[in-house]
Amino acid sequence: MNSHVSEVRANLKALQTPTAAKRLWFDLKRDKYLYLLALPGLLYFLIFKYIPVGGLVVAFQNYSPYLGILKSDWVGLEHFQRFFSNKDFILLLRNTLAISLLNIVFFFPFPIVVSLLLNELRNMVFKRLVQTVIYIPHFLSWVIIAGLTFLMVSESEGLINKIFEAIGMDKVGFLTEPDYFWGLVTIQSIWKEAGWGTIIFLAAIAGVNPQLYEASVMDGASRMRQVWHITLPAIRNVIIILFILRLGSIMDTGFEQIYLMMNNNATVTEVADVFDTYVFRAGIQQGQFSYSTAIGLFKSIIGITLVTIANKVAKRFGEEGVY
Amino acid sequence: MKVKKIASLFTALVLSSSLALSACGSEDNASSGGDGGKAAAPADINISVISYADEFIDDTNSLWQEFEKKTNTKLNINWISATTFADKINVLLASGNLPDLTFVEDITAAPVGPQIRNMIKQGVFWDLTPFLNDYPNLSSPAMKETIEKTKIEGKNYTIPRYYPSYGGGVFPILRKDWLDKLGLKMPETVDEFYNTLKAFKEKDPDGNGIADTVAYAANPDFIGFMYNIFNDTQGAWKLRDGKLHSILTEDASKEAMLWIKKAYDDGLFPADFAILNFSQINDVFQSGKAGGGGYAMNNAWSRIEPIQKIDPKADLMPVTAIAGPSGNKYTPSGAPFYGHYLIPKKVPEDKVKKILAFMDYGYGEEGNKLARYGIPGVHYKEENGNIVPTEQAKKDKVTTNLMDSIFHEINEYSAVFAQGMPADFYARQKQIVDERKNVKVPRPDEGLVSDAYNKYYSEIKKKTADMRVKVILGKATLQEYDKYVADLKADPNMQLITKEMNETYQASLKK
Repeated sequence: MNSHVSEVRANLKALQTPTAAKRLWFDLKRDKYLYLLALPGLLYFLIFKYIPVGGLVVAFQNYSPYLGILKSDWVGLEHFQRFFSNKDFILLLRNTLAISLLNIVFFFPFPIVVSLLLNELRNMVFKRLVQTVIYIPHFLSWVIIAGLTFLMVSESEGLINKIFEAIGMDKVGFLTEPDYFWGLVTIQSIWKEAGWGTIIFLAAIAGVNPQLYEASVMDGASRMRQVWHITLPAIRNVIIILFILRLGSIMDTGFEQIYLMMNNNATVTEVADVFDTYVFRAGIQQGQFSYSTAIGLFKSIIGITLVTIANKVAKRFGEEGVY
Repeated sequence: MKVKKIASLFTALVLSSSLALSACGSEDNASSGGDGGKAAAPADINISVISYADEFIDDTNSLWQEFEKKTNTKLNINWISATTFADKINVLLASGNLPDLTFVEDITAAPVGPQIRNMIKQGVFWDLTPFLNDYPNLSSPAMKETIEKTKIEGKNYTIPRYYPSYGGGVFPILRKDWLDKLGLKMPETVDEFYNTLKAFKEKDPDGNGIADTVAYAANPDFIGFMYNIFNDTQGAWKLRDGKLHSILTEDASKEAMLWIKKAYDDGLFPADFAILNFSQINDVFQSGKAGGGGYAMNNAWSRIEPIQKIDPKADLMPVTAIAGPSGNKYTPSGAPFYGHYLIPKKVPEDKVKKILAFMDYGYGEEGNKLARYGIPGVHYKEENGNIVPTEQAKKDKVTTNLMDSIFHEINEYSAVFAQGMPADFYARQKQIVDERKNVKVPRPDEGLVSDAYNKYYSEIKKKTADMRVKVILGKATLQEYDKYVADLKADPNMQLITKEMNETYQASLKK
């Protein structure tokens, strides 16, 4: 991987020489079919990712769909002021960060550990079986998972509360007690996505040169030593890149999950209301498009700042980073 | 981010579909140019309307085709399910590409009300006032109050959808057979209502020897009428000393909350009271173990079937009215309409007339009956003045909530009837409506709007509802509640809302 990247860098350097334009033209001509192949992808990004960025100007307007962007009034930073001076802002920020950080601390390492464990399995049939079983929750929608959660932990039907009742303990309002909310959504995320997350790590592990293991065995390394000195360093790059990308979405907590868990549940709003659910209420349900765009823009700015910082830090420590 | 993606996806969908539709529309305009002859091409009408049905019908349905034939139209009806209506209508409005006839539930309150008001101000919709008098059924005496009550600054921008004033709204429906068994009468005051529910819970009304009954199937929203009972008012505002006061901060609301709390503490609501959604409440209500639930009156019949499977003697009866501590009776009522249709300006004038003619047919005697009961002889037969539905009616889904959700039946008892209701049951329902009509509860905020209200009220309302639930569940103390209300009264946004609402109220009095 390293050698490949340096090769690309060398090519980039070559492009910056005075003949770069010529060289580019030559490349385009020579590989025209390959570029043609890439065209739909490029168009996709242009149309669905870059052009809509222009729509962000509505964050500085009082946008009305019938006047359009050109005729709507400009209001400057009014929506940002309203948002930051809102008493709820701190609450939303706290909840978003808390859920995100819990996710990073508990959910993020989970697939790494699972893939290391899976990698140690020698019985292929069993390994495949486990892999398949832990992938399945990824394909269930959040609606179903919210329903399953209700069936597991609610007070009227919940299996866990039924067990508590049977052994003479008091019922616990897992769904209505604010203290449990963050833990509950973190566990949900792990259950749903941790298995799916192992794919990328298992692929990285598969790329490790077996000779390294053979050599370490000759030197008398135990299983734990092999994991620590060979497997983990080999996938370190992948872990760091995924971590940086994860930081970029620190303001996103996953709308569907939180919405389904707090909808109709007044008791947990205080710990569950996050930027995504607030934007949904203000934007979609109440039609305040400019206001919610301003919040979305704010989220994106935080995300991109974090990615930039993390990338710089990673590079300083001699890692590759995302760009 | 995800929301935005969904929103843009929807917008794209709506855009592309309406592009396709508008293409059809222009074709129609071209062909209807030479309109003189009787072979005028049918007018294309795109409608988006709410529906409470589980399954929808399309243009292969015989009743749908009958309407097209009678009105010389080509209908394109987009049914929007009631469960997702609020979200979808917002996206539709945001797309800027509305169908020829768009249904909205409310043009006053959030979520969409404020937006619609703005759009009316911006001139997005036709002012229909000059046309309406040309249509005999839309300007008939039966529709007069409906049309009058939906005027905005003296003009009709909407075609209101008729709905009777009485019979709708969330209000208790109780197990009459349980009341009889326990020797109780229908409750008439909040205390009696409380004692009734307590008896349902404790006195084993289903007689199986096990204390397994749920007194009342509800979540905090569906017991919300208690706040109106205690405040002696409809809507969200109360008239006191000549001024409007939000019932969020009224002392009477605290009393209502404490009533609910006491009932909750006594176990009169289902176990997951705080987190039940509408369909879960229905499940509890229809399980045969519940003593009552809050519904519009027609549900007393439409929800009885699953209960009678468990207990064949089960009988459901709506409560007529409940008096609060002040002794004033309360029952839900409203202006005689539910929802509005809007026609966007991009629709050409001669097409507006065709759309109005279509609506006029639907509110005429023939069209109104057609929408509700189907084609005479095919979907129903009249026997001794009674309408008896045929098997074909079931096959063609001629039920409430489909064609008749476009034009509701004009009938002051239509909110209490349901398919298959026996004559004696219907007579009892009518009697309850007639008794409810004697209960006059003021609705001072009818049609009033303000900018601050549009901007801030829904968040404040949600916060207050959350606070109340916390107190009811014992997760917040009364001191915390008192402090919350005191803070809310001092909140500058809340004060601005109250000030603006009072100004519009005073202005509306002068007219």
